[in-house]
Amino acid sequence: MEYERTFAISASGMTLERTRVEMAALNLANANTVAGPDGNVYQPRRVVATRAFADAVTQGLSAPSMSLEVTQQAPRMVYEPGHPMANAKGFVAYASVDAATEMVSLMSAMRSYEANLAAMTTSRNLALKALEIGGNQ
Amino acid sequence: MTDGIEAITQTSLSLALDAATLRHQVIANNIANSSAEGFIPMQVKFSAQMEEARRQLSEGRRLEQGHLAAMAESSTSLEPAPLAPGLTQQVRLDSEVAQMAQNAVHYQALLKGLSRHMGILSLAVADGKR
Amino acid sequence: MSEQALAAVSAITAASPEAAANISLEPVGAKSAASGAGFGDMVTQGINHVNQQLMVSQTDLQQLSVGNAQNLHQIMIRLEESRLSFQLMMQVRSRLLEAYQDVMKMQL
Repeated sequence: MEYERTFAISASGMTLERTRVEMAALNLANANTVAGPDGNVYQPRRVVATRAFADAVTQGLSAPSMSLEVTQQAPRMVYEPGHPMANAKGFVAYASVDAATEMVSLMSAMRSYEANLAAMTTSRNLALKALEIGGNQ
Repeated sequence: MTDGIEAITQTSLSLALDAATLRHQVIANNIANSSAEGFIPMQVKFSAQMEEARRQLSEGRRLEQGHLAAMAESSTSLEPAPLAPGLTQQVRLDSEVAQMAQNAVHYQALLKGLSRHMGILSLAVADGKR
Repeated sequence: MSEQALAAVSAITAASPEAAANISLEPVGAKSAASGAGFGDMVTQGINHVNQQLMVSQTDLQQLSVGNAQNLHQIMIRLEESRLSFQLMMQVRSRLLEAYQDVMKMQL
């Protein structure tokens, strides 16, 4: 394993975590959207990184393989009789975004991002320290 | 010590330094244009002959004159960065900065290697005296 | 490194005026020097070893330049080792020459 690969590993970890933050932000932004005239409601998205991600990372590929999965959840029905999109019973179909879940994934993504950054800084410092072997001549 | 091995090492190190400088310029350009609409990030092209040189070196043999031409070519040509699956073609600041950190470390390593190499040569030239 | 150190020590003792007559001095407990091998063989062996180390550090630098370096610290350590062996070889050479000149200046 080349010494430069540690940088690629940390960078792909950072890409994954940033995508998780983006998706959490997207889900939160769509939390209060209602179903359109066609009855389709926004479905929250999840970032899925499988074993292939680990394989790609150890091979030093800079583009990690991850997929965006659209969850299939029943819409959140809220009783709002006066709402223009309310059905016959007075219920409005909201996107089933759980704000607490999204906030937790936002925080864990941020912590993981920091951890990746720390790993990269450490490997950078290690490489620079290794260059000091033998001192200045 | 024969066959001009030192000259080849020195040339390959300086070509690698050229490539690192070019890579730094490309990354700086990508960062500068990160908010430009429709900008396609670039990267330094990695030629197939370089792979051949790597394979030969890992088999325990040394670089030859022919590999230097491949290194010189790869330290001048650019290509658009490959598209990551599921992501749009755009500049990602953190990965650019990560690449820049890696490139800076690589540059310093090359520079240190070159200066140590020159140190040994100057030791030989100065007849063992400093 | 031990081979060079041995070669250096035996070179200095071999080149001292008392031992000048006995050129094929054998160091006690020397594993690297084959029994019966002359001083010249030992020197050649030492020089070959230094050359080998220099060649290895050259290959390491070429690996680094094509971006195929496994890790930095081993490259730096080998580079420094080869530099030190080379320096030691130069020192041994100059001591040998000094000793030779001392012998030549000796009043008989």
